[in-house]
Amino acid sequence: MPLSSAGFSGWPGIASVPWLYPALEVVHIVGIGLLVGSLVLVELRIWGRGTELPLAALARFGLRLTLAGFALAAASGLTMFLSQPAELLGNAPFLVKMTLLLCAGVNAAAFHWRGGVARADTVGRAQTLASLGLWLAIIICGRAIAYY
Amino acid sequence: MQRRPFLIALLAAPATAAHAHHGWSGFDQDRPLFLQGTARKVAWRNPHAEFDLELPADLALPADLARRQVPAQSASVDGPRLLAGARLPTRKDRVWHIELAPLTRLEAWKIAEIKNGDRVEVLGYTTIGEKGDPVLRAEYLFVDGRAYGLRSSPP
Repeated sequence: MPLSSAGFSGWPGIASVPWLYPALEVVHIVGIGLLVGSLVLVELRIWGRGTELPLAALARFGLRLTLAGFALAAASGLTMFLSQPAELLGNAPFLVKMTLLLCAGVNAAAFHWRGGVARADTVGRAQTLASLGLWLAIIICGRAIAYY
Repeated sequence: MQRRPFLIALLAAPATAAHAHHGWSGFDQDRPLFLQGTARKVAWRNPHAEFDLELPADLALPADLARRQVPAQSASVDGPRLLAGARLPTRKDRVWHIELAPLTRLEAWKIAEIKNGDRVEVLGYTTIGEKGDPVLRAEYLFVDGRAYGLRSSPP
C-alpha cells in the first residue's frame, strides 16, 4: 500500500491511460479462460471422459490453446505488473501466485517430458490433478492481489 | 511481507477480508468518516487513484457539512443521510491513505487531477472497527468547493 519508491519504478504510464488497464484486465481474463478451459477439456479426456474424442489429437490441439491462453495472460499480466512493480513485489498474494506459476510450469514440463498423455498412468493423472489445483490456486491468488 | 497471515486467510475462508484493499466487504459503510487535509504522494492512476492525506492537528467537522449539496449519481446513494451522519475517526493517525475511483470514473466526473499539496476534503469509509492501516475509501470528494460522488458515474 505505501507508494514505494524503491529502485526500479517500472512503467507507471501504463496506469495513466484510463482505458488501458481495464483492457489489459479483459485480455488477462480471456487468456485465463482459454488456458483453464482447454486444460479442463484435455484433463477430463485423460480421466476417461469423452472417450469418443481421439486423445492424442485432442491433447495436441488443447496444448496449443493452453499455450495461447498462457501467452495472452502472461503478456497482459507482465504489462500490468510493470505499471507498479514495487507495490506488487510487496504484495503477498502476488508472490504466492508467482511461486505457484513456477510450480505449474515445472509440473507441466514434467508431465510432457515423461509423455503423460500417451502413458495416462497414475503419475500422469496425479500431475493433471495437481495442474488443475495449481491453476485454481493461481486464479484465487490473482484475485486476492487487489484485496490484500 | 505478510505471507503467513495470507496463507492462513486463504485456508480459513477466502471471503474473509482480513485486510481489504479493494471491494466494499471489509469497509464499515454504516460509519461515514470525514477527513480533510493536504494531499501527498498522489498516484493518479489505475486501478484507482490514491494518495496520502495529511490531517491538521485540529481536524474538525465543517459546520456546513450536513447542508452541502451532493451530486446525483447512477447508483442510489443517500447523500444527505451520509453527510448528516459523518463523524471523525476514532484513531488519531495524522496521515491517511485515501482511495478514489478508477481513472475512467474520475474522468466521467471531470475531476481535475489532484496534485501534491492540494487541499482536499473527503467523506468515506474505513475498515470495520478501524482495524489495520488507516485507509479511507471515498464516497464523496470535495475539491475547490465542488462535490463529486465516487461510488458510481454521473447520471
